Amino acid sequence: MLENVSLNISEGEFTVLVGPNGAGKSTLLRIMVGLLLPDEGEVNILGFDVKKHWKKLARYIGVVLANERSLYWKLTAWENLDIFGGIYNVPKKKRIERAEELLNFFGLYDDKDKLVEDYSTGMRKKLLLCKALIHQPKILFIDEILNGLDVNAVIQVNSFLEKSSKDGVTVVMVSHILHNLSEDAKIVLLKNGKIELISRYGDIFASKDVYNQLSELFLQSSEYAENE
Amino acid sequence: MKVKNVLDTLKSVFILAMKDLKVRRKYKFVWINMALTPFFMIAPYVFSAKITTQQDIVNNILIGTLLWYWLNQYFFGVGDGFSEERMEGTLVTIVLSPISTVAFLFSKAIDTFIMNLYITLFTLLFFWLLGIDIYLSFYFFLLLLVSGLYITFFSIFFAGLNLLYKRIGTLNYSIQYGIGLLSGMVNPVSNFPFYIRIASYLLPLTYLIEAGRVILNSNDVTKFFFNLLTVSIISVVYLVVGVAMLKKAEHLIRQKGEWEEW
Repeated sequence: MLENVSLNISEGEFTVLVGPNGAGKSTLLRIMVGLLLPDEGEVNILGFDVKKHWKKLARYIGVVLANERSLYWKLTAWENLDIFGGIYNVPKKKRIERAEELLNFFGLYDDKDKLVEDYSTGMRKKLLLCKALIHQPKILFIDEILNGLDVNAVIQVNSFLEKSSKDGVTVVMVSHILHNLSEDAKIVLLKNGKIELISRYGDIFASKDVYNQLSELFLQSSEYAENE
Repeated sequence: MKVKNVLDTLKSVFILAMKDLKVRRKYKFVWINMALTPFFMIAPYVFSAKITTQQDIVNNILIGTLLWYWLNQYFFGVGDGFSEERMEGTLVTIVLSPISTVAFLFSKAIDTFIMNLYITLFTLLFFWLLGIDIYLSFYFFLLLLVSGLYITFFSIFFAGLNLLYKRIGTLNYSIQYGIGLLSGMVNPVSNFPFYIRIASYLLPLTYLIEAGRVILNSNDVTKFFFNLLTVSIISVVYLVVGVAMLKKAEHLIRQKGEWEEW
């Protein structure tokens, strides 16, 4: 349940939604992409009223959900990218170029003809990112993609997102993993459906108060997870 | 601009239909199953009819059961099309793409149509090998094409019901058999009491089966097209109501956030 959430995200900004389990991070993300309708309030993205025109918005955004099964496991990585590029009407030639570029960047090119069911969790998560980026979206929404990735993969994904953000792609990511983020990343801390704090990642370490607040919430979050 | 949108949607629909065929290509036994099962299911009806030694009765039952089998495939492929993607885990990805739920169901319909042609080819081949032959005219193929379209419309209506009332999917088999019986798949609906006939004439399959029987037994083109005209009107009504139900269901699911539940 979200309450009085008001959030402005500028073009090209790298925003990370953080907070304990049940804080409302994924709910907020789902509202932003149109999967969930808020009881009240407005959601405006790229000038589209998301409540009404979420399908028009869909062409301009890429979404990565935590569910690894949102790929066709019986098809190869290449076939998946070809299909998803096709659904977004990316012309065939551009689709091939883009798929090659993304698969190369994430080190998946040599395994492009392997079935997704034969991929490891890390490879699938990288492929999910490739899938979300195949149509060159203006905004990338990502839910918990860093979970289950090794340190090198986290660095690789974060640096890619940072680069994308610098290239003008707006990134909105739900994550519990905060290391290796850019100093400029905007941290939005949610607790019990409310925004508790908005701060630049670099400022968190500069201000003791902010750092303590964030640490406390993360500690609560891990205790909660342990009790669960 | 609007023409471009329509063309883009058609391309997406085609790509999704090809995706289904690509996935099915990986399951080789499905193709064997689809070649044999429909024949095994409808053969007992057709061979029982052959005992009468009257070709028109054999034709009546063959076309009735064959088109009923087409409906079965559409009810699973289109009417229950969301469940398949849900189980795969890909439904939310499709929902988040620019393609609408109706367009998505049409992609399922193309895939089902191709599978139904495959089923029909093998079923008729097996019957021919066993001495049961039907005359394959241009009108027969026209009937298959029209059946594909209008059973799709009817299945979209069922998909709307399925999304609005999720438990109705568990009755899929019963509903299919009920529709088969009411549409007169083995006996003409004129044999039914008056009050049952009212229900029969509300079902598109009744007119498609009747059109098939007319063309196989008497080649009466006027009667054939009259049935097609009637089924066109009824099917469009089902499509309009079905699309409205899908929109309503989509809104309710977005309110509850239940895309992954079934």
